[in-house]
Amino acid sequence: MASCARIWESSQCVFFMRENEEEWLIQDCLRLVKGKLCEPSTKPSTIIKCLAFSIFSELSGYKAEFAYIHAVKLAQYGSLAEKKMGYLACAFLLRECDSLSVLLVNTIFRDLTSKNMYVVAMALSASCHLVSPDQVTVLLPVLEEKLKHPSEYVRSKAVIVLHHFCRVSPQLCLQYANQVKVMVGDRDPGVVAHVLQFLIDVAEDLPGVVMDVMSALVQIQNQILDGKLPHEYTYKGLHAPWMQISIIRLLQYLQEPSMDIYMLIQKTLQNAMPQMQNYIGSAIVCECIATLVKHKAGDEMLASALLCVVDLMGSTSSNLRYEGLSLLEKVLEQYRLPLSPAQQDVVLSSLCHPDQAMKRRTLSLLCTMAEAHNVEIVCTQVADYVRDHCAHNPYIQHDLISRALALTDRFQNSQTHWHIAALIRLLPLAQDKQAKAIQRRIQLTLLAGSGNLEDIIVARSKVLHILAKYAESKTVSTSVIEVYVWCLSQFCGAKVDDGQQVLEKLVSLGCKVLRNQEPSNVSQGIQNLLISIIHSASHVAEKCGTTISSLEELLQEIMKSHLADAYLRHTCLELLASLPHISVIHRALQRSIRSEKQFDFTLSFVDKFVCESLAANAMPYQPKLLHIAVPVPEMTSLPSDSMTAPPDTVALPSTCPSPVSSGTSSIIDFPRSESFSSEDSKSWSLRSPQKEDILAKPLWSREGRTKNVDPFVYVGHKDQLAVVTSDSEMQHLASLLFNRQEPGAAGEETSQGDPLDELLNKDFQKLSVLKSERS
Amino acid sequence: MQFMLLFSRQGKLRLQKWYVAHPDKLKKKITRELITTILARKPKMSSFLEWKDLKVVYKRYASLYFCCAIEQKDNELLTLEIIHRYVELLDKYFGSVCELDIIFNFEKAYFILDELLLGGEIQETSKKNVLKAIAAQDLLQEVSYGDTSIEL
Repeated sequence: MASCARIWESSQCVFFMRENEEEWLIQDCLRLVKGKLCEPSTKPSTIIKCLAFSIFSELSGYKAEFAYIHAVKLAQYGSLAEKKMGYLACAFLLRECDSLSVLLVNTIFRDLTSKNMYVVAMALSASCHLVSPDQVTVLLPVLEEKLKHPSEYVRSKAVIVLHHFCRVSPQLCLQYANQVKVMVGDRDPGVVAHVLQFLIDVAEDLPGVVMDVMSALVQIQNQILDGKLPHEYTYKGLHAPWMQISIIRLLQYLQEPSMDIYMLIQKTLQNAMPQMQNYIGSAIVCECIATLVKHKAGDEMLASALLCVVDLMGSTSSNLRYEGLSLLEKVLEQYRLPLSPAQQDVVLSSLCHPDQAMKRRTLSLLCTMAEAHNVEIVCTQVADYVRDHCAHNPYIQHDLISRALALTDRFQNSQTHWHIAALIRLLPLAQDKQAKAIQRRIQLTLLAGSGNLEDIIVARSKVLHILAKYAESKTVSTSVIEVYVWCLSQFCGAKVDDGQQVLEKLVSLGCKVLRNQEPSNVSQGIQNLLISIIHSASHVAEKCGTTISSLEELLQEIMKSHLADAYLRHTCLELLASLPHISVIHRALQRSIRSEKQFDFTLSFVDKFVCESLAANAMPYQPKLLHIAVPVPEMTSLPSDSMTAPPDTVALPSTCPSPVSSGTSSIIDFPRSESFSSEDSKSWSLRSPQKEDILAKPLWSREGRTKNVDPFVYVGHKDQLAVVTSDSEMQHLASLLFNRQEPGAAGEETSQGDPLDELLNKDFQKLSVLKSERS
Repeated sequence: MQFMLLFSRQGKLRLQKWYVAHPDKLKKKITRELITTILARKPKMSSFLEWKDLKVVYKRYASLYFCCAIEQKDNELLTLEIIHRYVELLDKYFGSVCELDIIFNFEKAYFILDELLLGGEIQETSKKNVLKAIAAQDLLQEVSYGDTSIEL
């Protein structure tokens, strides 16, 4: 059997072998190591080497669980050198929640009380890796003593460990913040540096603690800038740069900084500016500017800071340029400042940079500085980036789409309707809740957008054309198709022929969706789409008082398919039950619109039946998707003129969901609940997508039917709902983003086409698919 | 700082230090994905990238990539300097450090890293103090003292 030394030497060659040879060699060595560790006569130095090899094999992906207990024993009973290796091995091999880690807590506690400062230091280092949040209380009292240890080496580590414990168990450890705060006056700069880091983390939870030490921080910063710290804290020509950054960051928590504070920041800035070619100098400059911007410093203070931003943006280093863009974004969040042509060029070149990180940073900047004239191009750029580069990064996808949605809300234009085009571009790229939010926005804008009615009708027609074209693409997003079927049902004519035409389209779409699914594929998105189609068909049938035979066939087919779950089958049955009586329903609805008499759509005539059923523990009806034809927040109390409103704006009562038909869908989406207590049911309250204060009053409670609930709620319309590398490409982009004139277009205004018309001419196949970068 | 990784140009992990608790499977997944992402980046690109909800700062020294994941509020340039500080320390300790030094003495690389960073925060910015502490511990390791207190 090879000796351990030979095992160790041979394992060094593993780096030069193929994978299967490496696996064979490491497993073989692990067997030998295991044998060695189990021998009672093995020397500690050999155990150390075996543990080092175990760490190495775990690093390479091969488990060495047999070594864990030996690491624990070494840490518990070894000499100084052995304990060091034991703690390292435990920190690497074990996790806080492992049962073996629990064994170490007592060892750590014992070592913390040792007279040997190195043992104490090792135990403190190990505490950060091996003590779970539950066991923190065991060590806190002895840790508090170490804050006053004679050696600064131990005091520093004690502060760091307390900092770590504050992060994992803030409720237990924040009470020690006052003891740490006092250590700002420690004689050792290293200890002070750690105290500053601690204060940064607790500043939000305990602002009072930070306020107490502000004057001390100012003194320390002045001492640093005057070069009074030992020379060993100088780094790249700057005195204690890490401490400077910590202090400047803490100054952000001041409520009302005095002129002294601004002068201090200015002094720090002047001190760091000559070193801006170093990252550390630029880091200090960035921190100073961030603090000045946070406090909304005046023009004089900001002037020199902005020069630094310009310098960073113009730097040849891509890292410094990246930081310059981040800083510019922070500045523009607080101040509305125009960019010079040179700065605009930097932004443009960063937008077209091959580095995706730079592009992402620039997009974030553009979203911050977007104005009405360039918001459309900004949203287009965001959509393009999400589609091309965010297939595997849902966080960035979500963040960028949120920012684009905020822009569409802020800069809606009832004449150009650019925001609708932007929302349609973003919809196939969004996931889950964001997709729902975008659907709601599109629907609300089309139903109740601001501006005159003619513009809205034209927009609706264009959107229908766009969505119809989209529906013919090879790859379709279900969320866009859901909006399409909703638009079809919402904006079709009220005549029988119109209704039948739309029903045929819906049935054809439903058949396509149903038949293109694989038997093993049951996707929630497809089920939701089928439900939307059924609800839309129901709405059209009720509106026009007609039906077609193929609709019944489709419903039967859906019920028998593998896609149908209980809810889908129930929805189909509902519509099948109402289709024979559709003409009666249609007449009743028409009468309700024309008549001044208020109809009781709460169906109070079945109250007795409902009471008896609930008493017998029947399950209350919980529609998955509620219909609101009258969109929130408010609609006009319909004047008599609106009775002759265009046939595509039929209003249905909105406060209570009709148990017969819940109409079109996707305005409010409630999770299906398995508990059917009527008290638990929230389906009676209509959550507004914009404001939470518009709620329908609950109709039913455990005590029975509530009195004095209006069947209709028409409220006044308060606010009208304000229902985006080659040289030529760069110049075109510049003209769109910064209102620059393109060469050759002197004296003429750049006329932008209708955004909806432009979208109609796009290839939807390319617009809707998130590109995977890992092909 | 959430974690630090050192890996070679071939994607072999040489050192990993985690300052947040994650299950092993998740650590491996994160490591694998991040290594693939960083190795795909071109040399002229910036050292920063946004990855999931973290910021990643990386720098290549010869054949090794030093990669740190930090929170959104942390300063990227500072982290670059921390990486540089660590490399300077390794260089001073090993004398013209190369990848093989870290491979064959990875436990010493860990000890140095632990003296520089603890709990995800930089604990000693003075290069002299870090190297002094490591040298003193190395000396004790050779001499093997018992349980007596020692003044630094």
